[in-house]
Amino acid sequence: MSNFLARRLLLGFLVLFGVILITFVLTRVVPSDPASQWVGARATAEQKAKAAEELGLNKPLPVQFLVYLNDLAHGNLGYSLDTHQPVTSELVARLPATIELVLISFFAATLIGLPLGVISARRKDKWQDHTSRIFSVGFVSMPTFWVALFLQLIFYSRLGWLPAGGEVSTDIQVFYTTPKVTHFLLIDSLIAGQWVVFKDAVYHIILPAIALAAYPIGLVARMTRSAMLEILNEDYITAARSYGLPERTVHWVYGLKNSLGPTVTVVTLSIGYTLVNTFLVEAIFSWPGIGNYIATAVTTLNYPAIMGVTIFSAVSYIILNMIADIIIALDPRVRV
Amino acid sequence: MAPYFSVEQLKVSFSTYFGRKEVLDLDSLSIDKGRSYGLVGESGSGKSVLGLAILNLLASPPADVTGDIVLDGQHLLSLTQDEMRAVRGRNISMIFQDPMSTLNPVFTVGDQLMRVILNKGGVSKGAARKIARETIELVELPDPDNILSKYPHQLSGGQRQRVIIAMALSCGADFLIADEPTRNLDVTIQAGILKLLANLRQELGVTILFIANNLGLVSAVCDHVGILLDGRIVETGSVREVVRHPAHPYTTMLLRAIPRHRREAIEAEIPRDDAYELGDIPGCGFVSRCADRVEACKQGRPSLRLIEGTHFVACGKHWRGGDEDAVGTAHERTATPA
Amino acid sequence: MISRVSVEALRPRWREFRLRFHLLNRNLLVRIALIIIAVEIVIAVVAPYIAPHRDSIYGIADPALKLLPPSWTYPFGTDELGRDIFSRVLYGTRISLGAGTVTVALSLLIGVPLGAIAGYRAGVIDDVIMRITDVFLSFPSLLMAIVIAAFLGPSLRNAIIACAISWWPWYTRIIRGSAISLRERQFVRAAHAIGTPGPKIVAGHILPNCIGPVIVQASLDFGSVVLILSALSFLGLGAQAPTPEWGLMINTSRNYFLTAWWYIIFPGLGIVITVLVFNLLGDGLREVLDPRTRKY
Repeated sequence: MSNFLARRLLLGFLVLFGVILITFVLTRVVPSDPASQWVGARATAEQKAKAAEELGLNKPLPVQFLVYLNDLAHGNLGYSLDTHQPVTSELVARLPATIELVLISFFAATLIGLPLGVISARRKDKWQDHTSRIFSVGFVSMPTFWVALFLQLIFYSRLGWLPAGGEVSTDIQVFYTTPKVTHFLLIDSLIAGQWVVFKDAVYHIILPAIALAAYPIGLVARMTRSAMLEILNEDYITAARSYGLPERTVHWVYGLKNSLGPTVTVVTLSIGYTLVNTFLVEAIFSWPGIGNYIATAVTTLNYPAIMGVTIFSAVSYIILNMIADIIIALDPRVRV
Repeated sequence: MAPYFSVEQLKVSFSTYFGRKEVLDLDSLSIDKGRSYGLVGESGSGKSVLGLAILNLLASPPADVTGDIVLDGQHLLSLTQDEMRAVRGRNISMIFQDPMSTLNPVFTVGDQLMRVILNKGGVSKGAARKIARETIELVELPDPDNILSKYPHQLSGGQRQRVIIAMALSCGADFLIADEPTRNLDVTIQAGILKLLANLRQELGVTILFIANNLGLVSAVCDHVGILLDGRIVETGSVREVVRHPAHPYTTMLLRAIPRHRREAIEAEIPRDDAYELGDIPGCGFVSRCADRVEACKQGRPSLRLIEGTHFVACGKHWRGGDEDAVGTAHERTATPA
Repeated sequence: MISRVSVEALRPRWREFRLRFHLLNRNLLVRIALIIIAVEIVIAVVAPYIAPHRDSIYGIADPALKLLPPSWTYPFGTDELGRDIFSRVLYGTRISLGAGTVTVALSLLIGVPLGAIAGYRAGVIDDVIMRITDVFLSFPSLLMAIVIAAFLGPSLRNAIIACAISWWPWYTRIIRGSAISLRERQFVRAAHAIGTPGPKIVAGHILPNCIGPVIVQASLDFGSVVLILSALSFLGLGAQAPTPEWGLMINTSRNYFLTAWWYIIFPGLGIVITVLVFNLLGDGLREVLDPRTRKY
């Protein structure tokens, strides 16, 4: 097992290095003038030159790269060209909002998608199966950015029920300050007993969460259904029935556990897609997370920020992949 | 006295894309309590379907099962699925032929065994574990706790087969259907399993329906035997009667195919005569390979006729004179096979 | 040239293929999906001829007609430049289906031969190819697409390249697995024994026998490819204005979000319907090819 982990880790680092290298080269190659950006539009040539010196832009590229790697190793992702703040702290400040969204969509995918798939397989070709399949194939066919816009259109523009974006309404923000315990607004407001804030936060998170969760729910439901159907044809299911085990057990215990492997595999394949979807949803709903951060960074060519987010995404992607590999390796038949 | 287990007019057919295919057509079969009956047939004879049909585990749209199956007075085919679920395991259990595919690969042996035991109800977890351990000992596997903690793929073929037998026994069933339990095992291990089955019969008094493709195996374990050809029983009787005085040419071929008789295996290979290939024509399924065929064999399938004692045969060459009607459907049994 | 020997291995497949196709048709949903796909292909081909307002497709129409709601003349309304959205959506079928096909074809072109070579030759070549495949697999595909698009400049062509580059490793893996098991088969060994050169064996014996599942997988993937290409265009990394690509249109529509609902809805429906029918087709294919889930 440790051998397996070591190999995966090595591969992960390789990919990470590749990502860093490519993004670094890109941001230096793309025409932009980071020094000017740093000092602002009305700076003198002298100030620009000084900035270039400070930012280390005058050194040859390979040296710059090494310097960057060194900084990385110390957790320093550079300084944002817009705000002059360390990128790392800006990222960390925005992280909880993104994690909130991702976690909710992940839980929705499992809590809704898995049972949907099991029920669908159990009642194959009956109305439950057909309804579930129509929904799940529909969810999987809709581009997330479109779902987000569509939801905004209906629930904000036409019906006015839910807010267009942001994590919390501005007037609430002005009146209330929620102490940051977990940095998750939903939880913190509950802890502080601020019901108004909590309710407002819920209103704000509904649409982005639904938009983000649609694809994973459909995916999990479909995968679970097809994995279950395959498994239900296996001999050990017939054997289990022959011993008199109730159908409930056969489906929810045996069927589900056996089908987790393929389901996890497929969900991992969609992680990359989900990652970018999160960013898109954040951009559309002005959600104060990392996605929004990179959206603005890309338009202003704030290259340290761009690098920071790219590296962060790559790292999370690698970690998530490794977790998935570990889960798959938990299958006793897989010899690692 | 009615037999403990009996099957009457059991017909099993499957609807396939190419039409309806009849797989089993059994006139009658019965087993007394504590006895063992061996059903011998080659691949394609329909024997693998019988076990599942008895347990009503054949998926109903493609499969169609008609007839009557009686176990200890209960008419099994008239039970609902819920009622049948209660019967499965508690009254009838099946020993499967491929333990690698019939044991759930992601649960330990102990997990699966305990789940079945607990399902039957009335025992605590601790008691269930004890029963599990005892059942493993019953199938002559040493170090039960070790076996219980293992996954199926970590055991050897022989161990797995014993585990499958343990699973079947753990529910306390009195009637066991052993579906080719030694199919995937080496000959030496086969002997061990057969001995185990014989011992279990003696110790526990279970009734066994043994399905096999080898007459030699069956004669080692069973009291009575039935020869299955093309979905029908063509000969039945006590092991002694059938082996000593085989009446159907197919039986003779099966006997000759038993290596330990050291007959010339070539004799057993009677050349196929394609002129007698039947296709859809009703007739004895053995006709293209039979050295004793008569004209009437092509025209219809004979029904079981008594020869002597409990020895019956369904074969054209055993018709006594005057019986020109080859497609007889009426029973002519004068005595119930005991 | 497929030798006689390997055709023997193939022949039962023709019969099965016809049987499977027939079965495929029995499922109602799949039949509907096939019809819609056929309709879409037809639209894609004749769009330039049947679109009601042909200059809308690329040119600028009357700016005075901007952002009109749906009407008889403009079934899907007009966009901010007065162009007919209906015509543009029709033409978008051509773009999406075409781009999708090129992407899948490209990934097959790269992935399949690599997989066959890796599987057949084994040894060092296998290892090298598999390592490269692993690295590409570990890279999130959209990220790779963004990087490539940033490198080569945003355009539909580059988006296709980016997508194909991130997709080929899947096919390599599948083919390699089949190739490894085929390599031990009698007819392959026989060909080798009589001195058939390696590439000929790969092309004539191995490939024809393992391409089946990959074709299925490719058709299943088509929907996802269309989704990703439209996402890239939405981000501005794919098709560029004035190309009437669905994702791009949705992006532009954001600016007029509050007033012009038709601008968002209809291009989006184009994507959804296209991806949906290919997913349904893929579902049907999968059901038909797995003998155990067949109903008879």
